[in-house]
Amino acid sequence: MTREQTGPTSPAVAVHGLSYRFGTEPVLDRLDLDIPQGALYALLGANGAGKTTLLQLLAGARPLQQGTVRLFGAERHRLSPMQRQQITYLAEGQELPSWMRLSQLEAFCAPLYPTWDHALALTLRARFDLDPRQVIGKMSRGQRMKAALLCALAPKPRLLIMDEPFTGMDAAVKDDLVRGLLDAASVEGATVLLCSHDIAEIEPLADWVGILDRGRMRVSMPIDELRARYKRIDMVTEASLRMPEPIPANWVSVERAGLRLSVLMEQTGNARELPAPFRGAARIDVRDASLKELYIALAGKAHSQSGTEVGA
Amino acid sequence: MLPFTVVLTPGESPYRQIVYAATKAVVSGELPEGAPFPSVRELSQSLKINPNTAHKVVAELTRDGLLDVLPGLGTIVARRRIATAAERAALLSREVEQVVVEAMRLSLTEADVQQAVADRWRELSAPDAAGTLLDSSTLHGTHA
Repeated sequence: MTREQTGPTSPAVAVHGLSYRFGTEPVLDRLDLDIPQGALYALLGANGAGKTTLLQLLAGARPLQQGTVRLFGAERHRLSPMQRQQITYLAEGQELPSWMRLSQLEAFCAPLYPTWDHALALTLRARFDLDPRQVIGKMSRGQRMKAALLCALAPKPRLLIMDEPFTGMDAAVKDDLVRGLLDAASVEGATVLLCSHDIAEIEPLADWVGILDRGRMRVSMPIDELRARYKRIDMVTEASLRMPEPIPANWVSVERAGLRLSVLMEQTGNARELPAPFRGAARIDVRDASLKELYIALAGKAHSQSGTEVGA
Repeated sequence: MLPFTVVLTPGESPYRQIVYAATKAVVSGELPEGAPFPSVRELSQSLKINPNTAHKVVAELTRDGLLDVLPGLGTIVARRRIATAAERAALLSREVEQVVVEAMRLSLTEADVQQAVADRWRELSAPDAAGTLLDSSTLHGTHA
């Protein structure tokens, strides 16, 4: 590895007190976020939560208004050209010059990145089943996305930022994209940050997860820690049972239907300790909360005032 | 394609699911001794899981003595030491738990469940059971 190292131990991304407004409309609100090097970080959030704005701010595609963004320890607007070349960004529905052939696009991108790997570009072409002579304007949506990903991966970035890479892609294209992404992520120390709506697709891919809600990070931690920390507890109770008041602070969501009571709770200290009235519940089933239910409980709350419906 | 079956259930830890599936495949002989075990990259690519998760799976199976690492060559299924009854039983714990939970939900007694298990066991170990199983799998078109 001959790449310049800027603070080999500093986080790939360190955001502090980041606020952003569109006119008077606040989008990000004093947001803090740290992403360690080597993470495959999935950023989740509802539409309008501020995901795209955050990624644009990180990628330098939008000027900062307030707060700091450090990438590999250096302030974003003070990155050297060398450091900037180690970061690639794929916008949602990334525009590419439609008149170019794929080979021309590659020839255009390669000199921009000293680390551009021609052999890798060829491998990706084959894996994505792309024809270098094809004109981009005549490609399908999926092919265009693959061409864009090729150009983002071939420089072997230390940080790859992707906004909704899977949206609107058919299953076969998605598979190709995911596998290309995993290869990029398996390079020692490479960091991938992506946001997606597709929780089922993302859950096994990511090793870090963040949930963005109303301009702030609600959760940001390794996915294993998240699994260990949040539990779904289902129990069958007596009809006369009264709910604890107030609802304990570590209960993220609670639903009751008939005799069935279902609590999504954050384990604190001696975890499975239930409030006294529940200790006699007939059947208690404890399992790790899934990312989906956690997402719905944390990020869905603001948008639906009624109880959240959580699929099993 | 992987040499053993894993169907990942969304929402559950992929790590635990894969360790479980691989352990079952080794213990049941689906993955015979000496068979090559997929590399971290193959696991990651086939199952579309994080490379770190794949790495943890291989590390865990190696630690459990199910896999041997041959430096420079890859990972193979280790020579099988005889699994203790407890170890083998542990592999059924999920299914047993499910049965018990369902039985309780339906207010069946422990004896009811034991009877049902015994009946089913007899059915499947009867001389023509193998043929029956084969027929049903053919019907479902597993060879297609």
